[in-house]
Amino acid sequence: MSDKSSKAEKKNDECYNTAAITNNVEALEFGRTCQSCAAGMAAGILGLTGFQGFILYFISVGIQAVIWNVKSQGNWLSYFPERNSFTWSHGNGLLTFVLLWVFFYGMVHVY
Amino acid sequence: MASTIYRLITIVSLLSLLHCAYSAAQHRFYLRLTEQPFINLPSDVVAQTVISLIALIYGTSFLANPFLFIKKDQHHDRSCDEALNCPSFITFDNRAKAMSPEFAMLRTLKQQQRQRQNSSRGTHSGRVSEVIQTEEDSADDSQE
Repeated sequence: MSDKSSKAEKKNDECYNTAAITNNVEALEFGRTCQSCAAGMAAGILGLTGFQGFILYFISVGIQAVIWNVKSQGNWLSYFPERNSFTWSHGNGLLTFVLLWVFFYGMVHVY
Repeated sequence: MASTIYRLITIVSLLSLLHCAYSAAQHRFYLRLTEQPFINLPSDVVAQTVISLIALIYGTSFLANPFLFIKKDQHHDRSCDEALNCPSFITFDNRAKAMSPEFAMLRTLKQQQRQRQNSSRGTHSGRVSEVIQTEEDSADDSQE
């Protein structure tokens, strides 16, 4: 109880710049969307089916996380309240990925 | 400049990915024409696809907004000299000018002016003003 209250106080003591957080979140959303599009295109071109496509998606998520950490120069917590470079917005990412995966598979391998 | 490079990386990798798609489609078309079963894509198409994927993720990551420092202190990277610089407190009119050699020349000029004023005051006293004036005129002539 005291630990939780002290943690809450610590978090309340942090003064965050809301405009900067919004800007960084927009950058993450943009990056996640483009990464999902790229992974979907690649999966469709390579003709992956089933779980292999999702494996490629998570490999690209790992690549994206590494590139984001390079962009933040190894100092992630100066730009984001918590460490979420791997777990950012997979719902939208997976939907975009499946959309482009199916589209490019159809264009390349079916028609 | 950097944004242009990342934009170029993004565009080139996107075109390369579309080129891979076209190559794969042509490969499937060729297999269909020659009635061969599809086993896998040629290795060069696979390699180009993977490289284009990594380059596209890299380019779009750096093409997005740059990350901003989220603490309230937006000037965390300033040096101490920058932070302690107070232009409003700078005073340009102070006693340091007395130390300069130009001020010494000004001082001597003022002293000479005072001496002249004292001598001119002496002329107003007594009956011998005419004599003193004539002497001063001769002094001026000698100076000239």
